[in-house]
Amino acid sequence: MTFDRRDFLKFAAGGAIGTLFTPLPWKLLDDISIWSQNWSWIPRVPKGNFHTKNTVIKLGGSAYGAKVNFVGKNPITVAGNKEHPLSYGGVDPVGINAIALMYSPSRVTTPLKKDTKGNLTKISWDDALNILIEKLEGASKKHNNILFVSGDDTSSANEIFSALLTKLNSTLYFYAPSDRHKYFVAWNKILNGWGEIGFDIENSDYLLVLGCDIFDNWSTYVRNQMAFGNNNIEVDYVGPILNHTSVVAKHALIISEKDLYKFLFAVVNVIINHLDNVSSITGIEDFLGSVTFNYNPQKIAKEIGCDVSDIKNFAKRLLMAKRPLIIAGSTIDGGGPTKNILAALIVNTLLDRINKKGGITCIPNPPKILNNALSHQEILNNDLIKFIMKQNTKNIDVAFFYETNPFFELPIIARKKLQEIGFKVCISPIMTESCYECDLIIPSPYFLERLDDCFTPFGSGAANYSVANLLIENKNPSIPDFFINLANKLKIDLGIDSFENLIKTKSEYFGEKYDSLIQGKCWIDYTFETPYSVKIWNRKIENIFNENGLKLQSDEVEVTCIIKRKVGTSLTGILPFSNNVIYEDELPDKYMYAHIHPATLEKFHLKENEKILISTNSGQIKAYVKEDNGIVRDSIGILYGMGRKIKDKFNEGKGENVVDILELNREDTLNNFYWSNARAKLQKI
Amino acid sequence: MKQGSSSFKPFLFGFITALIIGWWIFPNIIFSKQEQPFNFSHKAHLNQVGDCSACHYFREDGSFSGIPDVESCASCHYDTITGIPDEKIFVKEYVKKNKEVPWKIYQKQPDNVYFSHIAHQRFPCTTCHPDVGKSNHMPIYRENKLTGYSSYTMKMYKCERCHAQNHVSNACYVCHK
Repeated sequence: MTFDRRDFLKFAAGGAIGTLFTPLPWKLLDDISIWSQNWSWIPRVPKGNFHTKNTVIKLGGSAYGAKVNFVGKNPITVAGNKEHPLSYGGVDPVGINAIALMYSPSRVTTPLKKDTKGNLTKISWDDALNILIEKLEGASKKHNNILFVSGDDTSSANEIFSALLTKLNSTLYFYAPSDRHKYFVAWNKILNGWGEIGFDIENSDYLLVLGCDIFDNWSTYVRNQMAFGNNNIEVDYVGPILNHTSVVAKHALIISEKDLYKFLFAVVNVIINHLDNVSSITGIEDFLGSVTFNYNPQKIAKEIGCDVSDIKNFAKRLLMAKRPLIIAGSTIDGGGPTKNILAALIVNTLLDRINKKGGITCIPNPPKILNNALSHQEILNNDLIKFIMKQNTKNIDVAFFYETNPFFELPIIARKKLQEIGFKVCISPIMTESCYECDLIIPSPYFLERLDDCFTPFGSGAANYSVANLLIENKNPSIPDFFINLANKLKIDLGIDSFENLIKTKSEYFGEKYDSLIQGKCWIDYTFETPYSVKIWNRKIENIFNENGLKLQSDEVEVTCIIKRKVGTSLTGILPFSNNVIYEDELPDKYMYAHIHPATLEKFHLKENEKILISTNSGQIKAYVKEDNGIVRDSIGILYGMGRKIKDKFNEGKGENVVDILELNREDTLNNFYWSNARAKLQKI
Repeated sequence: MKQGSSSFKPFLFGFITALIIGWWIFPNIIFSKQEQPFNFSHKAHLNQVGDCSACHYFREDGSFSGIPDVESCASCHYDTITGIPDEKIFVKEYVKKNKEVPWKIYQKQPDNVYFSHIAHQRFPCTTCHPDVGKSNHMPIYRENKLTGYSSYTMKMYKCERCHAQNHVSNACYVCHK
């Protein structure tokens, strides 16, 4: 039997046709396609055990307890913590983005030093330490020659930093400007109140919110949202622009921020005859006399541009509420006038809402463990803006900016004053505008990479204390421990050997186990200070309210900021996922929209989508016109948080910074500054 | 006639050879047979706990817990209970060393497939998974040498067929996010 060429071809043909009747070619094709998806350089989703750990997130501005889901060692998502009184299961846009932000290309991962040409070069931690030793040894020879600004007013790290500062012959320790400071000025310094103001939102049945957005970015906004959702609370809102609070409000009224106190006093004027048990309040007669005389509803309605019926309706609702609470705040945290806050505190006192269920609470100040540290109240008493505007900052040799970004969030004139400081150090987890202005940048560990604590964020209803444990590996030292090391090198004894021990001591003070706290337990205390000596009215207070606010010329409009937490914070920049939720009607291209009321458009002969130049004494920005019924007349609303100098794809080329055109205004009687608005001129381009 | 018959035989031989290779030799070459790290009796555990969901449960947020971790197993097996060799391996090698068991997953899906167990909870587990609950032994794990996936892995056409039969959308984004 022979097997010739022809037989071979027949065999091959039979084999080829036979193969088609088997899974071989089809399976092989399928497998090859799958194999090509699994080449070694194609990234894989890490696999591992799913588990959850508790932490505290401070990135969004106000701290709250959260749960971080892990797969193996990798954090994957963040969720709210139902057991935490500042979360109730809620989480904010910054928290949702927190894990993605951890991998941001703009993270600061190593100390950086600015060279003579202005370029940033990587240096070691030892080099950073040596630079600081040299600078601080020289600077401490003169009194008050070192300035420290802390962006975190809840952490015990402030004790370590301020203790070192006092040992270095300086008491120039400040919190970054916020409404917490404005409330301190209004309550503790003007009204002679005790403790720190909190809001018992959970137990209130009616909130009258003036100016601020308590459900998006102001005070404990995550807890506020959840408390509102879980309880039967009615909300009314009065402010210069509609926001997240106004959309859930039963009644919303649009009034300029500078007129909010007038509206509130006009409401008091309506209910003046229904007030009970007010005779014992110090200054009540003078106050009622002033309200009767100066805040007649008809007159005020005309002045602030609303109907008298609006004032009467709000008065009626305030009177009908069993547990009302009036909350006033700035549209841009810390940047608004103090008098709206002062007015709200006076009216809350008048309605007997101090330390009452669902009212204002007077929270005791946090304990101080380190002898040389400044107390929380001492720090609140220091006003950064007042200081830098009064002093020659050229005389300050060294400044630290800890997790704050003044070169983005403060008006240009204040930034210029800070620029004049000799040597500037920025401590930040992410490269910000302030980092680029500083001579030395120190990486601050990200929230999962560090041990940190949190005492009573502003707006909490009662004193609370939480601890965030170190949840993922971090090669860099914690900043408080770095400063303890720095103190040791400077031969300064701060009275503590590690930040962990400071937190342990504080835990003992609260009678809480450290191990429970790092696992997510929140200590909470419903003990309040009794403010015996509150005086709601005197000559000084009257003068504060008699001062004129921003006066507009006929060709001018008032600039108002639109704040949305989804855009991020001054410290985080625009968040990675937020690029998907910043809509076209917020940022059509590299320019933003200027929101203008239709009547104002008509007055200035403007049409929608026209490009305009907005000029103030501070600067200019360009924007497209957007018709918006939800903004007060004679004003323009511009989204805050754009125009970043952070060099990554999430931030570059997106709009302009509205703060660049805001002006620093002064409340003369209080000697306080505010910058939440400015007078602007509009020009078509 | 003889010439024609002899000319057909090589073709037939090639055809049958191809069938044998394609249906029997190829599947045995492409899949490797692998043992699990140790034997686990689903039957014995099902008798103890009563239901699959005692160990394979939905979390509070609706996500599926999958295979229990060592910490969960150690709540009963911190020390050996039965003295069975496989249990001894588990306690000695994994519980005491706090090491996760590298189970070979019969139904592993690619990273780009989003499969929600809770959306499919009305179907019995055995619709998709081997019926291991009645067995004292784990099935042999057959891994495709080319792709790295188990032979049990559900292919996309099966997902699509079931979706079509149950009038569920077969749009890409339903499974691929």
